[in-house]
Amino acid sequence: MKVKLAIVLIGLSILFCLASVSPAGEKEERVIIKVEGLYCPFCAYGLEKHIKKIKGFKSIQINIKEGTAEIAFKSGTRVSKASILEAVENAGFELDGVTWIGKEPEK
Amino acid sequence: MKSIHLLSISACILFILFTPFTAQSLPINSDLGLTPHKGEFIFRIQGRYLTKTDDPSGQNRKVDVYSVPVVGVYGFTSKLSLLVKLPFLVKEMKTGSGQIRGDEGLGDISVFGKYRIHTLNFKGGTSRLSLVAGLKLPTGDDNERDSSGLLPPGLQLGSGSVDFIAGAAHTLQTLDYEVDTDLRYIFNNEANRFEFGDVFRYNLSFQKRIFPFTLPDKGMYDQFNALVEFNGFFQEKNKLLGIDQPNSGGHTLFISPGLQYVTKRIVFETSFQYPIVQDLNGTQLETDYGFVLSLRVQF
Repeated sequence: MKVKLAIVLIGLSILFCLASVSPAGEKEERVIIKVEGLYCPFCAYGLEKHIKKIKGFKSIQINIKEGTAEIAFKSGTRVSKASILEAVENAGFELDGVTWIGKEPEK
Repeated sequence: MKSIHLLSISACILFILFTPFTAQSLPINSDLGLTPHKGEFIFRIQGRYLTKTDDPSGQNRKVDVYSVPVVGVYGFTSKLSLLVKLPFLVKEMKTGSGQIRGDEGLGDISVFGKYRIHTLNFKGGTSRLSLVAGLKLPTGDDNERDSSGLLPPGLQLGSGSVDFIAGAAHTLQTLDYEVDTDLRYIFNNEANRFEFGDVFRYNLSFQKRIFPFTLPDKGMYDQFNALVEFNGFFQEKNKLLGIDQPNSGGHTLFISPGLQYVTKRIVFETSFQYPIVQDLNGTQLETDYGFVLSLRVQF
């Protein structure tokens, strides 16, 4: 009985671990951008809208106090700095820096 | 003397507002140098009320003006935008004898283009300057009549003329405050042998965040702002058949304290306008006060 219970628990644990691990295709590419001219929540909406249009966009957190935005893209989208620059400029701001978390996508 | 006393109060308000808090906001009765982002559409609707009861002519006249300007703004690029304003008006004058005259309906539609010519981003702030040019179109009724005959031009919904508007607006926005300056000149033309005097408008707006008191390190936030504006205009005398009308023109300056609730997509705001300078020619009615409620939504 104890052995059967242990087998069930181990099996459930393995299943739980497998469910928690994202498949390799769903890993994110994360980037932090520094934006100049961003000092207003009403103004920040424009940045969010244009960043969301970039292919592979997954999520964004804009930090007004810091003047930064943390953006996540779907893995494998090969998002370029040029597309981020265009989005920031269309929103009316200046891009002051891009920091890739992990490896920068190949151009 | 009354004007000087009120100007001193205004200076005190400004001093208090310039304590170092973060201010991120938009003016209510003034324009600003910021432009909408590319593809952005902003819808704005206001409820405005203005009353004039101080009648130096002795006729005991009273004028109330209710207006609902509906505004749409679209950003073609991050620098170039178009604004269309549709003013819905109710104008009413009561005399001491009990007569009521007035009209209600759509006024003159305005169409403006705005182009940002200067952007300077620096550590902790940004400076933006935009040029504005546009037309006021004669869509409002300009020959309304009642039992007493043709309404005076000031009670008509429209001027009957195509008028030209040009100006500039500047915004200085930092982590401590926002200041907006707006200058505008309205070139009024003749219609029905009558010409309103040209108008030079000047506006100054100061804004400060009052809540949250401390900004979160991460993320965005909704906020309440306090603001005070100075909204003034000089107007030349009106002309009838080319002759200056003595009871027209002058200089008016309002102080306009207000409150705003600002979110990512919506701004809800209110403002009270009190005249601190009224240097009017002849026996014109003087303004008692004005009141504004406004909602802005961006898409």
